[in-house]
Amino acid sequence: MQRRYNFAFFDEASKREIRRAILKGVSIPGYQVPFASREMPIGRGWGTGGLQITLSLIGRSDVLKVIDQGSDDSVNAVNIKKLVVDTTDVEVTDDVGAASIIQSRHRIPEQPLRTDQVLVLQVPTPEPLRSFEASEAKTRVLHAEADYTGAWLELFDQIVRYDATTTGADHPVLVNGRYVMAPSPIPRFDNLKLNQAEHLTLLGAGREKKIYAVPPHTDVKPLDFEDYPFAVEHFGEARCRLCGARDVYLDELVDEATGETYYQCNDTAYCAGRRKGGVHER
Amino acid sequence: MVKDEEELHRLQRAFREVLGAYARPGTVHRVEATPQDAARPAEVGGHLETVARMLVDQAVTFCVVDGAPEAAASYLADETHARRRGVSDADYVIVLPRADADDVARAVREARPGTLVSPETGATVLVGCSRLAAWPAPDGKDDLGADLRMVEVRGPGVRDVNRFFVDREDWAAARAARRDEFPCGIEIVLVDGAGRVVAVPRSSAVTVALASVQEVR
Repeated sequence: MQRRYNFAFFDEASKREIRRAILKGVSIPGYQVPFASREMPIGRGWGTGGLQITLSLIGRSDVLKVIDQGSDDSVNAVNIKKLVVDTTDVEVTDDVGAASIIQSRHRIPEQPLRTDQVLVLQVPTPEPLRSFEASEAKTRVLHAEADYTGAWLELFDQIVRYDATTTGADHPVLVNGRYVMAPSPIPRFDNLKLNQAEHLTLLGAGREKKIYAVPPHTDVKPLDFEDYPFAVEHFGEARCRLCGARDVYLDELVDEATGETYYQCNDTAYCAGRRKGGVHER
Repeated sequence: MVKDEEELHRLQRAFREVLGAYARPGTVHRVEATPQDAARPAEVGGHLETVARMLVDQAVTFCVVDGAPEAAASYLADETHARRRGVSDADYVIVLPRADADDVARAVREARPGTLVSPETGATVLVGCSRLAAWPAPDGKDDLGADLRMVEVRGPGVRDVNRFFVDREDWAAARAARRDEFPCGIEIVLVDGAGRVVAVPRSSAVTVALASVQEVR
């Protein structure tokens, strides 16, 4: 551990400010709490929001898992783990079940999380009304008045153009019947995992300086229309080429030698666990 | 201010416990006491001080509510470097365990609710109390006194209903009388003398059950 830094990198006043924002976020589910996002040794847009939350949460007894697009071994995940370990000496793991804090970019693990686990999601664009209204001052008023015309209009526009909502990821959700929230760029497949979940979810946007939260056992409803109900991605009869899993989020890949299309679990730790026999069949 | 490495870790553990209390309103969590300091007035318990130190510093304002708050407020201002304000202006309102029902009611009634545009500016009220108890008791030991009342909590973070016992209910009546329009409102954090902590965020619906301990058994 590099003792040139305070435990968990931040000075204690910075942690305290982030902790205060987290607690207000949990108290007002789905509301984006502004915070003084710190300069980090990782560029903004590379997970600094999630990282700041993790560093404010983490203690000596924690076990950390970090995933990026479903993988524990991608550059972003490895670098974030390296920074946290260098400044805390905590244990890291790929195993969802062994982790107490799971920081993630773009996915919620396939294995359901427990009550004692905290999920930290990295958020690039926390404002679900941003494409409708560029002004932060105005979107704050729209949230205050629960005026979500812009979010509905965006989905309606997609239906008019394509006869379907085309949000590949970051499909807006209504939290606790009050705030429309960007769930971070998780696929639609993962949106439903936030609804009435056992675990606490904290979302951090470093560049946009916002922290928000979804407490356990909270209603999280994707926005949809009666005649165009919300639907998750389906992969037909496809199975993971490695572990044979169905009903999980799959990556579609092409074998460049043969031109054949094949599928693989996007959640690499889940796939590896199944192959070792440590994860039950879904 | 954090004085040493051990305090840093004590406050981190306290934060995780308090975060658990916020995420699951009505459940009982535990924080450790800040070690005795000769300068600390007796009315500021070590556990209440831990929660205050975890939240309060030079970037926020606070207020101590008590019949004679001066010594406690001076001590906390010296320790945290936070600025003192009146009840209705403070970010954190600290009600000492010995405060009477009128003081508690005043603190909860007058605490700042925030605004619809910035609801996070709503105050947090730390209420010291004598005894908090989980229900049902997690270890099966039921050593609840007859003077405790049952509180039921519903809302985000609660699957169905969470129940706990507490020796004072003055805060709940004052909270109900506020009639804040969500998302405006206040957070209430109850801390007892043994370090038990229960949080009641603004999103929670609270009912003080008519049942006393004897009736529930």
